[in-house]
Amino acid sequence: MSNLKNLLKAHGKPFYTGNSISLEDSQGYKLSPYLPSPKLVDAVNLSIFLENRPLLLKGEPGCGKTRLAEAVALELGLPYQPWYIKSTTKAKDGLYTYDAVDRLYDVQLASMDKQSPQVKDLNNYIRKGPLGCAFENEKRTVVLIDEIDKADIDFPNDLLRELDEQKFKIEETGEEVEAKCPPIVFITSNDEKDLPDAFLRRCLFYYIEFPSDEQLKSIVNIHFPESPIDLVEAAVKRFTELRQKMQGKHDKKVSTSELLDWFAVLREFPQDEVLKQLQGQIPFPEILLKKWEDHQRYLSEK
Amino acid sequence: MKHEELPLLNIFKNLRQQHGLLLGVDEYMVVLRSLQAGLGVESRQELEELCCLVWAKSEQENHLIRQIFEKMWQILPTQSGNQVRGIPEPRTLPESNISLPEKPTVTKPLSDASSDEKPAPEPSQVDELAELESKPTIIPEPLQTVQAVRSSRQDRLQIRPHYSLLSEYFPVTKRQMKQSWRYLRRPVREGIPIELDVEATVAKIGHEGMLLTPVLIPRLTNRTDLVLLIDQEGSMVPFHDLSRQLVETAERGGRLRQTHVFYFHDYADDYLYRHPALLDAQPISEVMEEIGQRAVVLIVSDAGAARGNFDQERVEETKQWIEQLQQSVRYCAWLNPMPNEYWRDTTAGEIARLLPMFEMSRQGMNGAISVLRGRYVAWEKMYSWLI
Repeated sequence: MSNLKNLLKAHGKPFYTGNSISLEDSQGYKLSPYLPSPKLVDAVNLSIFLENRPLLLKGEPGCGKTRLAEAVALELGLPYQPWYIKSTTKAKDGLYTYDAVDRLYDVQLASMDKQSPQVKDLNNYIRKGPLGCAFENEKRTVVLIDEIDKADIDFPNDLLRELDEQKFKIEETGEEVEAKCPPIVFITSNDEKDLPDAFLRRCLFYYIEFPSDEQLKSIVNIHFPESPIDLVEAAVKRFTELRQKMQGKHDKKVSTSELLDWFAVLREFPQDEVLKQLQGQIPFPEILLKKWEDHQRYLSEK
Repeated sequence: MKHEELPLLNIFKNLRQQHGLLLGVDEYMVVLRSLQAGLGVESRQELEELCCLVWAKSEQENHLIRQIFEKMWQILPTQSGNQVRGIPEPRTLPESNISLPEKPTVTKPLSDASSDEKPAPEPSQVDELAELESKPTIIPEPLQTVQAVRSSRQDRLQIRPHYSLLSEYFPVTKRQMKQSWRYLRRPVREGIPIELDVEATVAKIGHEGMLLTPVLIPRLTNRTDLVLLIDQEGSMVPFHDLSRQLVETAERGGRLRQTHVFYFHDYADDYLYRHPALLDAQPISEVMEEIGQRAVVLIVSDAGAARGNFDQERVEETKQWIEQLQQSVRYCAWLNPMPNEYWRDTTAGEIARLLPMFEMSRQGMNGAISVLRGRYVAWEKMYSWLI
């Protein structure tokens, strides 16, 4: 959607172009380059435009769901707050945590010393979570809620109000925290569990498709600039062949991230040797095949 | 082509009514807002993309929306007489888009969602779209169930509406299933102690005179292990999709600790099967040992009600394994996909005397789950003929 750019500019909002991160940058920030498809770039910009609609990303594991948020933050020069969800994570943890035990210790010390420096002020014991930090930040913040499906099924619903109205209340102090600038929220899900409908309704949904051969080649190229073209083509070809064979089976398919790991090893060896190996049995199969059955199935064929 | 001529509202209504996507006025407005701002007006593809982003919530729904767009654009030229050629007129000036008064389009969905005064879209269009659904594309099998349920309820459905307003014909929708599963919980504190036990900590401070270490307790987790026993094949064929949905929602939408699914045909004699096609047999005694006493068992079967005859042998056999079952687990219930007025004088009626049996409806499912939670449900009183 070409006119999104003008539109976001007119509204004074940042615009994501999906430019790949330069090599210096990627070394400086310890980030590898990222190459989104044009449609994904549109989706990101629409989410920026609409403000209170988080972008829900789904797709095969290893297709770059998590990496997008970082790439957006870096390109737009915005602060980045990742929130990695675990099975025990509660919605409140993302907003703030209140350390009652710490305060209890301090109260004891204070009563002994007869000085009560910080105990009275509850704010000393409240620590903001990723979303809480993003709300407080003067700058628009990119928030990543990673693997939301890992949490309890109540988790997404508990965040509805916070994401919708962009404010929350700290129960302990009664203080209302309102977002100074609406954060750009990315949510990733591996589809382990269904998300509640009420939550889904408020999200923009984007499914990251597996990249085409051409895209795969450019992805390999930006990760490993100056790699010989023959090698990239041969590796991508072998990789897609393997992937096609896996099609239709319910097993885990090889992913982009595995291709990159694989290529990182391949390029270390003399080119002619690797090219020869790629014709035969897959070299370094342990990077691509993660199950014993897969080893048996795909290695014995050639 | 102008905004007002876009079949957007029809597509939106179609998604809501025919396919049951959970979309509100808000979602429609978001698309309009974006259109007004000049997004998605360049080409049909862009509009499609925009709608997918805002309205779809899964890969399948994405696909569905694309399909409907395809269909709509096929209908359009013949219907409006316009030469559309698949692509609406390009709008070049974004400024003019923003200033365009779009009141009619904006108010349309509002009045529409709140009242039924607005006439339905032209029948031809609705028909064509309804056709879309009947094609076995994404949700193929439910129709079988529909027919099965409908034919058994013919007396009730005398006035058949021109088109159905609900996407799912099932007596219990997927969403309702998920909601019901959530009630099935047995919270137990389990795992690493991370939560502060305020009361115990205060008591400890009182006891020791000062706070040395706080008392921590594990978090509450659901410890329900559900075992679904599902009747397959034979008279259950039309309900396969329904039971599959039941399994799916329990596994993905519920908050159960573990869900085991076993299959059988008519009644379980000595073996239960792990695979829906009745493969992977496992002796019933072994299964019972494996699932443990605290698991709850839900049986899904028509118990012979679909055939509508009385089969003494089936009653006897069922009685045997139900007794065996009741000895090894504390709570079990039966869900019958046939409506309960069809149980009477059939095998099902007799089996319903053995354990709590409920029809597959929202109330029935909630009833069954209450039984599994150990609540008493006066299920026998629901069917006067049972007493």
